[in-house]
Order: sequence, then C-alpha cells, then structure tokens
Amino acid sequence: MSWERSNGQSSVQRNCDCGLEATRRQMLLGACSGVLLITLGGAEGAIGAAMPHAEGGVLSFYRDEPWLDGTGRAVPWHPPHGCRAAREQGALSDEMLRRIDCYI
Amino acid sequence: MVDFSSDPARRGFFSPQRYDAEILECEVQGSLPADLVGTFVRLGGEWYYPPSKPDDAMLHTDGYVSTFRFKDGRVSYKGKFVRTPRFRANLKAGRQLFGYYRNRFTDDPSVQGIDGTVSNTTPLVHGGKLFTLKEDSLPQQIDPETLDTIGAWDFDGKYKSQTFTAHPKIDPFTGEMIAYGYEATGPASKDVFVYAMDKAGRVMRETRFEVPYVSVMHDIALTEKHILFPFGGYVTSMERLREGKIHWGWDGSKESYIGIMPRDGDGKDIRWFKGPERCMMHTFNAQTIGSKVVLYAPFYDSNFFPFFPNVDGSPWDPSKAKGYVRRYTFDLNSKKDSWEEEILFPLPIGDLGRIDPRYLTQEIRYAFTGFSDPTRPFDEARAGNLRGRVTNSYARFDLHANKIDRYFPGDTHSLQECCLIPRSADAPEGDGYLIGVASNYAEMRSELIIADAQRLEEGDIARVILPFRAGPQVHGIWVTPDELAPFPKAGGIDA
Repeated sequence: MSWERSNGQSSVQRNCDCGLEATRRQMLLGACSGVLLITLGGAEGAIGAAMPHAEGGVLSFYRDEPWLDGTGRAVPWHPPHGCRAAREQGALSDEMLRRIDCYI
Repeated sequence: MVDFSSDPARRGFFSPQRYDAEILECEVQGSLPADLVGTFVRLGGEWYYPPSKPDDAMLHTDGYVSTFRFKDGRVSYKGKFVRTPRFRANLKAGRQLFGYYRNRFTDDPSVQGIDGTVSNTTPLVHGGKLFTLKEDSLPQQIDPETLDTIGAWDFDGKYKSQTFTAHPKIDPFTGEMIAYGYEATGPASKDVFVYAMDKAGRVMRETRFEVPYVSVMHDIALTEKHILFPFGGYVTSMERLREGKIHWGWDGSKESYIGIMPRDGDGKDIRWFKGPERCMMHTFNAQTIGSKVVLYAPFYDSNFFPFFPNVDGSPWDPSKAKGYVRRYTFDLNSKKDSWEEEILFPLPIGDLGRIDPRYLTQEIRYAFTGFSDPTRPFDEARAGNLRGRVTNSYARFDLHANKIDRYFPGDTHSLQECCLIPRSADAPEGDGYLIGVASNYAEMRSELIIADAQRLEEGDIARVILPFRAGPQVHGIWVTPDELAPFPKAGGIDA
C-alpha cells in the first residue's frame, strides 16, 4: 500500500497489489490498530494493559528477599499458609502454647 | 496416612519435622573458636504420628537425638529419631498405637508388652557409651557414629529398677555416676532404687527406699557427701490410671518434699524435709558445708505443665508457674523438718538451668538459664505474634556479685536450653562458651549460637546455620573427644 499526496492535501489512494480489497474506512481502522499494537508491545501487551494494575513497582518477597517488580503488573508473592513461622501460634492461649512446647 | 491437619496448633515453625537429617559440613556465620572440639548432643521429641489423645503431653513425643560435631573450626550435623520399640511398632502399623503419657491402660491392645518409652529427655555419656534417657524406662543405647538405636541397657543385668532417671549425676572428680529410678517396681509404686556406678559403668551399690507419696522425682542434686531427692505436687495412682487419665495430676494441697541421703548410706538413712507447694523439676547444684546442705534450684511456685491437670478441676494458672533462682538451706543438726528458702533474683526464669559441669558438688559462682526478657523487641510482622511468650535471652547469674549478664539472639528468635563448655580443663569457673539452639521464626530455620560465656552482652561469636528447623530440644550435653570412643565420624569432615 502506498500513500500519495496531491495538491497539498493528504489523500488516500489504494495502490495495493496484494489482491485484497478494502474500503477506506477499513484501511484506516487497520492502520490505527496496527499502530496501537506496536505501541503496546504486541497483542500480549495490549491484554496486560487492559488488566487492572498498580501504579509503579510492586514490592514482593521471594525466598525471604525483597523483590521489586518494576512492571507494576505482577501479583505479589505470598508465602504458603503457615510458612511465616509463628503466625498461627500467636492466637493461642498461654495454656495451648505451653501444651505444644514447654521449652519454647 | 499421616494427617496432622486436625491440629491447627502444630503449623508453621511448630509443625513436626519428621525426618532424619545429615549435613556433612554446616554453614557458619562468624568464626568458630579453634579450641571448640567435641560434640553437642541434643535430645528432644517430635510427634511422628499424631497423638491418639489430642490433649496428651508434649513430653510423650518420639525421641529425636541430634549432634553438632566440632573439629578444626568446622561443624557437622546429624539427627535421627530414636528407634524405640514404640517407634517401630507405630511405623509398622502406620499410626499411633499408644495412648496417654505413661498410661498403658489407654494403649491399643496390640502393643501390650511392648516397651512404650519415647526416650526423649536427656542424652547421657558414661562408661564409653551414649544413651538417650526418659524416666519411665531403661536407657536406650545409641551408636555414637550413626545415631542408630542399639537397644535398652540394663547395666549387664545389674540394674533392677524398671525405670531410669533422665538426670543421673556424674561426679566430676571420681567419674562415679549416681542414678535412680522412681516408680521402680511399676506404675504408681512408691519404690525408689538408687545406684552408684563406677566410671566404667559397672554397678557398685544399690539401695532402696519408699517415698511419702508417689510424685514426679525428675531430678536430684549431688554433693560430696549427700544425694538430694526433691519432689512435690504431682500425684498418680492405679485408680487414676485405670480410669484412663493421663499419668499425672497436680494437687496443690500436697506438701513438697526433699529427701537427703548420705552417698555412702542406704535408704534407711534418708531424712525427709517438707515445705509448701512447689513444682520441683530441675536443680542447678548442691553443696554440703559442715552440717548444712545448700541446694540451688530453679523451682516453680506451682504446676508448670498444663497437660497434667489440677485434680480439683480448677484451670491451669500460668501466673503461678513462675520459676526463680532459689537457694534452699537444710540444717542436718536441727530436729526441724523444714528448710530455709530464698529467692536470689526476682527475675522469672525458665528452669532448664546449667552450671559449669566441673563444679558439680562444689561451691558455684555462676548459674546459667534461659528467660523471657520483656525489654527486648520481637518482630511480630516477620516472625508471628507470640506475644512475648518465648525464651528470648540467656542469663548468667553471678551468685557472688548478685549480678545478671544477658545474651540476646535477635528479635525473631527464641532459645532452647543452653550448655556451658569450659574453655579448657583448668579454665576458671564459667570461662568458656555458652551454646544453644535458637529458633529463627522469620527464616523458618534453626541456628546454633556460640557466645563467650564471660561476655554475653557482646552477642555471639558464631552461628551454625541449619537450612531447616532442628526440632524441639529438652536437654543437651557437651561431650569431649576423650569421653566417647570411637568418636563419631562425620564423613565429610573426616574424609
């Protein structure tokens, strides 16, 4: 497809030898879509941009080291249930805690 | 199928680890002292299968013995479940077959006649052998190299009691071991058998006596001339056991007793002293000075264990389970059967107290134990909110200067029992290393801390880092290379 300008005004003329036929509206829509996809980094990026995400980086933890996800699109990593050591035992009474381990 | 999911309390750091483990050479932070040569042997317990009684005592967990071996500035780790007859029976069945703590009436019928001990309280080295101990049965002999279980040891048939204490005492000057068994002729029996073994482990003497009432006689104290037998509060009976209850209840109306017997005497010579309600579990040390006997002990005001319920049905009261460094004085020339008790430091402590082992039976200046220091921070966000209920410090009590020095491992840690290692055979009292396993709740791992016992306030010299939880410990001992031969080969270090 080529673009031709005549008399200072932009105009579009179909000059395609690919064998496809398209209306002017369709050609404009296709061109705009292509520019948008390129801007967003392809189809995957477009989908990601359409998903809700935080502004800026996401602070997460991996193997107890802090990790900043700069894309802003990652889901924070939460350790498996019970991995944070004594979290469950905090709710226990003094008696129940002593029953588990007298020598803690 | 092994399923702990119905026990929400045993999660996170407190979920049973259930594996044998070996690290040929451990990661170390800091620098291990070059003169630290020997083995730290630990004993505790984990539930290999869930308990058949949800309110059973944690003292009924399957014994787990582990070692940290130090040589040439390096350290290895090995840990293994004690393969007691009970452990093997449960493993064969794939489930828990045993009932309440020390109540055989509550076991599955298929294990009648099988030794039900878990052997999970204290390691012992004597006469060139390594043992795991629990006061309800005979010692289990352990191969020091592999930590495999060899089997029950009855001292070549000369030890007649059905039970063997978790706290025999070894005289550091003669090598003689004083051991005893209470409930010696069976559950709820009043009989106590006392033995003296020479340093080769041969039985030299036996004597027997009956207690005023059957109770927990968990520990004794030894002087050059006397043996002290403290107990009080816990009660049991065949009636209680036949009713299917856990072995011990607590009766706060019962008097406490401390029996004093000459080391070269027999059961007829024992003299009983009485006092108010006390929970007498462990001792620091004792000394005979003329006609006086002095005992240092971290006794509690009242019942320490909530799983041994009050016999009157009242709820367990944690505010009464406070331990202090106490001194008891007995006048053997007096006709009175009471003692003088002093609380030497007003700081509540844990009762896993230790001294410099070379000073057993002698005058001591220092006592070491763990305690909960409320002035120290705990990082709840990283470690979980235990609300200050952890042992977060070690203390060195200076009995002469009336002073306390403290060690703090960090704001995400708690501490297990400490152990004092003399720097050398002729180092002054308390000069050496204080070691103990710390639980790191933020990193979900255990660390063995090594601190200078004279400089606790400066923090630790080194930490041995394990990439996993080492499991609960009750007691641990330090073993020098000349105490046990052949000394365990760690494989990696000795390759």
